[in-house]
Amino acid sequence: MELTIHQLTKRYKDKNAVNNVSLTLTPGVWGLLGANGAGKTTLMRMVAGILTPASGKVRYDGIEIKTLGEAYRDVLGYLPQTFGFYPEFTVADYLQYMAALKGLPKKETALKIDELLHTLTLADVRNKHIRKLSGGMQRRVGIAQALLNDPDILILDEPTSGLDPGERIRFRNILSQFAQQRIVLVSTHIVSDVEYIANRNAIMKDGKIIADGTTDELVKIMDGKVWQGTIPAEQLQRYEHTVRVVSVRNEEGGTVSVRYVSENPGLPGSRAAIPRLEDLYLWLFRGEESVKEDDV
Amino acid sequence: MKRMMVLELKRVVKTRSTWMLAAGALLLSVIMALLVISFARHYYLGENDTKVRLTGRKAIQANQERLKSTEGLLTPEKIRAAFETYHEVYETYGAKREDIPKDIYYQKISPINPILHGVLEVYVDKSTGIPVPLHEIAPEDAATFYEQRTERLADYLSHRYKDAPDVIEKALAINGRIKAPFYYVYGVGDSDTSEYLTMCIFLLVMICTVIAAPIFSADYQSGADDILRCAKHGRWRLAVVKILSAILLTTAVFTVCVTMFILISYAAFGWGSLETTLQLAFSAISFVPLTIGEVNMLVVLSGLLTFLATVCFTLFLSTKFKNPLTTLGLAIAGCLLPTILSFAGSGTNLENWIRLCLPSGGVGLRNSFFFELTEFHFLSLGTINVWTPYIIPVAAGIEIILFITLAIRSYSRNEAY
Repeated sequence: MELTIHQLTKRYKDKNAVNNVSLTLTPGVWGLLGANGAGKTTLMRMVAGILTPASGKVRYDGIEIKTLGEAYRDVLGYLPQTFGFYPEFTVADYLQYMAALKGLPKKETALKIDELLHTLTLADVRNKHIRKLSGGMQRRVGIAQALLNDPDILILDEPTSGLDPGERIRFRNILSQFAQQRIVLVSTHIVSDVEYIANRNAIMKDGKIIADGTTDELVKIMDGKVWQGTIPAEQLQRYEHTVRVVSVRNEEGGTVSVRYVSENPGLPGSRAAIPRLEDLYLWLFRGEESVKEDDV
Repeated sequence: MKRMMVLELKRVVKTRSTWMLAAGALLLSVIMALLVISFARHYYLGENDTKVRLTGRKAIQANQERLKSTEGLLTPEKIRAAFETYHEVYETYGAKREDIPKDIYYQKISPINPILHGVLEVYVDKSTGIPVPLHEIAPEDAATFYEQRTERLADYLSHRYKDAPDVIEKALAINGRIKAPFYYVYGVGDSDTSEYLTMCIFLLVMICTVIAAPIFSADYQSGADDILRCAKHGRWRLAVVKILSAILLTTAVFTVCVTMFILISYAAFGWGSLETTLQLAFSAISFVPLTIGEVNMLVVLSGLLTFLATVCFTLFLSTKFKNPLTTLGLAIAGCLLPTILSFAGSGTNLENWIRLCLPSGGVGLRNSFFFELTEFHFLSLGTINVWTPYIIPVAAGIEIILFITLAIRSYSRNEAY
């Protein structure tokens, strides 16, 4: 099973939202990382077949998805960034509606819905209107609809937004189990969501894939570029202008322990730290003001 | 497909705005039928010779009683007898209504008024076109009403379509199918039922446009469409299901509302009055061989086609625009365009073609199938002249198929927003 993205480009007015992107997705969880506006959503919509690329092709096992049409959608599960639903539907009504649209046999539908409601801890709200659920629960309903047809290809655009930490951990575990022999593409700007479950990651910036590989391969790029140093708290502001701070932890005696990325140690008494994916993310996006600590 | 259809219908019916609009439409239909009944009038002379007015159901019953003697086949003998009565009154009191004592008027003239009006329209001075005063028409002449009517119709058509002899030929051929003597029963034909039925259909078109406008647009706007179109059957099958369910639902609203309007008004005015010949209700020289019941049935059928054409047009717009308000605005503008053209247009041949061929061309405030049926309009298409009531249902029928096809195509191929 292979999903090939070949020289995909999408242009909006004078901006290339996705610029000549090529990527071959194999079974496993793929993390698609990038700041807001990097082109992740546009890329995912083209892979989902709901947006027509200006140029390039997406092929599933060598056949263009446009040619596959219904057959491609039969193996596809998609959760967009904005989960739109019918306000008049209860959770069960909605899932039944989606099951019919996905062509699930009527007999299997009830069983599948029960299973998903249980897995996603939605059983208690099955007869509640979706509009009355919390944002996190609505998101889980969105995930449930994407999983209804046991898709071979699952595309999730910012699936964890709105989920609380417990829900995020539960979601990661579900995804890890689900991804066996399936292609799961998860976009996020929250690196920790994919760091532990993604087999491979692709990092997007300005419509291009600027790095891709396994988490270990990507993290290797940061060898010798991640440092940890302890400085007096009042000096932090000064150093923030010279190094890219990843995290700051208050220590005893008015000092702070600073983790930062830099070509060379920039703080006195710095020692090399073990790199993580979020270090790479900050390193690659170091020029962008919009990348904030809570993004990673 | 059937399962999708059931679920889609369930969804649409569950939408609060849908059933609120449907309930509003039903209420409006009932109100309009009651309005028509309330417009009925009957006058009689009460105590102290004062004029008493009855309205509504009581007026209808009193009129039915008063006009009983005129009801039935309008034979030449009946026309002669009516004119003899008229001449009796005229010779005593003169032609002016104010000179005739009220009790005499209500007793002798009121019951024969439907006959007098018909005859008045037919007997005109050929040199001036002005109607001959009733007192100048002898009972024997009045008895030749049917021959005179055909002559008058031919004269009128010759004057109006002097450059189009085929129009005269066509109209007279249709006229040839009219059965004489005419038949008259007081009721629906004497009321505004047909006009208000048209108005009721026009309002239903507007209401169902509001129901249909968000069918696709709202999904685009909410993002629900992104998920739907990624599902196996989320393209053309979903489009077909959504369109069919919208058509089914709006047709159900139309059927219930129109049925309610008809039941209320017909029950009040009397089912027997549906047999009245069109010529005795509207224009004596009309060449349409129909009864009032048949006219209203055609108004409903043509109205349904116009209604469906407008709903399909709205659904097509809905597949094109992300914002339901944009869709609604354009659809309403489309609904009103024929009315605007009929009020503000210059009435050229091309403009009339456009007006009648628009999806909502068959219903409006001044344009409708009913008005076209009771008028004498022909439009030319090259060397051919077409009677306008034929244009509306044919255009609507074509548009239903066209806009359904375009809507399915547009939704299936539409790129997500």
